[in-house]
Amino acid sequence: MRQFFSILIFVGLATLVQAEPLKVASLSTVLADIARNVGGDRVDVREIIKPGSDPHLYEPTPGDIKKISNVQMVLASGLGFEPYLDKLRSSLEKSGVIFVVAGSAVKPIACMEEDHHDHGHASTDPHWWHSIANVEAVTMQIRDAFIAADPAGTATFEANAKAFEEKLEALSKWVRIQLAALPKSKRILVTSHDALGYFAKDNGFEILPVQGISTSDQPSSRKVRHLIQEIKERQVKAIFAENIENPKVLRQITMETGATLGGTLYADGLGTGDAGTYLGMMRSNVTTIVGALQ
Amino acid sequence: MRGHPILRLVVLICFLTIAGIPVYLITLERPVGVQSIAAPSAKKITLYEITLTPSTPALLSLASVGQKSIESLPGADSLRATYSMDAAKPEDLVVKALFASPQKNAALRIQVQVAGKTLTDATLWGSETIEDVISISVP
Repeated sequence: MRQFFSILIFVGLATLVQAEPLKVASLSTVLADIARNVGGDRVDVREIIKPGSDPHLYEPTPGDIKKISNVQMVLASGLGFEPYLDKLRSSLEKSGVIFVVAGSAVKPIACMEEDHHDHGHASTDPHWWHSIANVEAVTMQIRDAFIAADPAGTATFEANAKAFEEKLEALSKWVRIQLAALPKSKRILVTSHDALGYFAKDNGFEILPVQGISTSDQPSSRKVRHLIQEIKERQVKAIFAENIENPKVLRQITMETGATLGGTLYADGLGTGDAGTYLGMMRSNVTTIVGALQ
Repeated sequence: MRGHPILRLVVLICFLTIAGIPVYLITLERPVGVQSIAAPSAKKITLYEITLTPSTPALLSLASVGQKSIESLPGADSLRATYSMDAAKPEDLVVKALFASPQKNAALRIQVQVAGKTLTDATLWGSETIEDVISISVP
């Protein structure tokens, strides 16, 4: 009987040890979603940046630092998207926190904006998640990082990553089919800031941003004037606002050009509701773009 | 300032002119390094011959923006169409094959030719249904 209880206690303890999830903090809403898909129940993902907030203007608060220091792994976008990352990394890596930086797994592209000011973005576009191929690469990167940190969960992480990859492939095909309805001459995106470069490269769009690569870049009146001229000459039907910005300048442009406000795009991360997942965000953006420009 | 009113007026005009020069120079219209406005090039319309060939007979369909969608009868061996499109920016093709029964390795070959020269030769793989978008290479 004593032996039976000992086994029961051992099994119970083993279950408890296994049930303790890997604690992960994410500095990106997109990375948090990928981590949840790959990690499942074996990972506890804490979002430091919430959906709908502007990551370009974010600075970690003391409360955030405390939250981050209690985790085993931090997920960051990289490519200059988090100007505070190097400082955070150097202070937390000493205490054993693992940093997974997505920028090292993707194929970066240069910024399209010529006259932007340097806001820690150098010349690389940090909005890598607008290319589904990049998200697939980051999914594999996160899977490998989770396996390294929790080898007992290898089978789970591999199965989850494969399932998510299949969803991404289906999404990629859906995007191609939706965009095929849009003539190539109409594939011009006038957006609040230059965040959709990867999407444009993958799908044959041209970007005409009002702001630079960061939401903190402010357009000069001269630049706005030239943009208005270009929108008129190329007969751009609609221009797009973003979920985290004040679309006042865009409204002014619509008044002068006759273009309509085509809707809201999720540029710097996930939104809420249907756009609260990566798959939902991409579907929302593509539906908005096709609906407005068709 | 004392003196003749006309002299005072001349001095005032000179002052305003000198003060206006920097304002004029600052607000002078200059070309900026934003995106250059490319003049729309004249369209060169080209005939694209498109052929869909399934691995086994299937219901085939072909569509492209601005073109008439074409669909075969069920159990077709192939589907051919000719689309006239801008040679500089040919539109993408949406192709679909619906096989009568699910297969492990069903395939759909898509060939695009212009004046006998093959521009695109791609094969899509699937099971019961194959549907995707094919981009045409610019010659």
